[in-house]
Amino acid sequence: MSQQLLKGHLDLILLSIIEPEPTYGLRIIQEAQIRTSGYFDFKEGSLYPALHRLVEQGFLKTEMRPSSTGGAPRKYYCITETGTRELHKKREEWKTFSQAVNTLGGIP
Amino acid sequence: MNDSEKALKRYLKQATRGLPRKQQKELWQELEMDIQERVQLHRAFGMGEAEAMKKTLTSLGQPSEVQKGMHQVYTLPRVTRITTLTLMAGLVLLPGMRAVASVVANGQTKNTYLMVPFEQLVESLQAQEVQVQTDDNQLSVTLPSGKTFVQPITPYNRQAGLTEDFVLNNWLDTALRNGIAVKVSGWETLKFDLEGLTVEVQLPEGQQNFKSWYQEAVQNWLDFKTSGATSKPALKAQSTLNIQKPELAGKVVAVAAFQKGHAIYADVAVADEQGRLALKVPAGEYQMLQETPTSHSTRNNALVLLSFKGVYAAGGTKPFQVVSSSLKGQVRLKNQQALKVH
Repeated sequence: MSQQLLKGHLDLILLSIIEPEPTYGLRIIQEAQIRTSGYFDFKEGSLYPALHRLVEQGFLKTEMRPSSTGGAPRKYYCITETGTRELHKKREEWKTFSQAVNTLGGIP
Repeated sequence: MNDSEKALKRYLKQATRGLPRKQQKELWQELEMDIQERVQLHRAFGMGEAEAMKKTLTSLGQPSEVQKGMHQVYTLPRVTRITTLTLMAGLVLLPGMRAVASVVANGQTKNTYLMVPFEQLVESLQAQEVQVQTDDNQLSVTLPSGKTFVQPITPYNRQAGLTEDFVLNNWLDTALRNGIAVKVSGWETLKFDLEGLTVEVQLPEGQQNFKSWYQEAVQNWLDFKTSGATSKPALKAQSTLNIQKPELAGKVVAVAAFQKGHAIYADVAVADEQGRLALKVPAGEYQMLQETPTSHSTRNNALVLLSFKGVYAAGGTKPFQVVSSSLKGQVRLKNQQALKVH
């Protein structure tokens, strides 16, 4: 998919993946690929800056947890209350936007 | 340390370069664990360690992408937060206050010219509430000290075909020529202090430090002192050397003034169709050099004029640069041995 399109909706995608349960960087990439049958293919270059930005903005927080695959504890990302509100807001924005585009584009 | 470990370390070093120490450590650990997990996955399918590491690092993308992205998160917003607090307090950037702008250098730092992305520089300055005005023709910056200096934007300081690159040398030189005190310091992060404004230049991917840039540009360009003392051009060019030689029509001509074996001042201009040009030169009496300058011949006040055929790619100072140059020769002014510039 277009990298610009991906970039424009990165927050919505990341918050959606993290919302159900806390997870870590690589798992987010894999989850995005699995859930979209490979349509979303993040590179670390866009993932980590976006995750760290969302933490800085207060939409995510981090905690060290034992890794599900064993080994040393690793950094998990969890959604905050502010993040959940932001996710709802972004979902509404996307709904309105996509409806408008569908209408303009003659897409049923 | 085997090759795989070396490759991993190199990737992590490049991806985390220039970040504040805490974030650097955190991102390093985070990326390292992701990479190790990917490698283990490949190895579970029978791949050798070296191949697994190579495949993993390739699939991650360029470490510079991570570095640039993280820089946007931690360096620019830090700047913005300071600005926001300043605004909340009902203040603007006043004389005596400091501003710190940050950019990542483009390309190689071993060249004479240091280039940075123009938009990033402007955004970073604006985020600091530094007064910046820019259009296609000029960049005007008002420093916290209250001084304003204007850099003309020409094809010479926005490298041909690479409009995102801005030649920082020329900008700093313009500051110096406007009487602004410039301090240069830093090894892995280059810092330019311009009267209350600090411009931090981070290393691009694959570069270890700015040592070569110091050697190529600074030592002959500024009166540089290792203690970070104020640097300034050793001479001011208050006079003009007018030349008219028909054979110079359309050529680029550079003048360098020497003292004690070092180029201490230089200017570059393009001759018009009649071969006329004007070069700024410090007033004084010079020995005209008729051959390639050596430390011996340039010990006393000396001038050398060089002509080039090509595209004049950058301006103003000693580290001039000409691309696609096909001719290079000495310009002789009536075989004068001595020249007085008023």
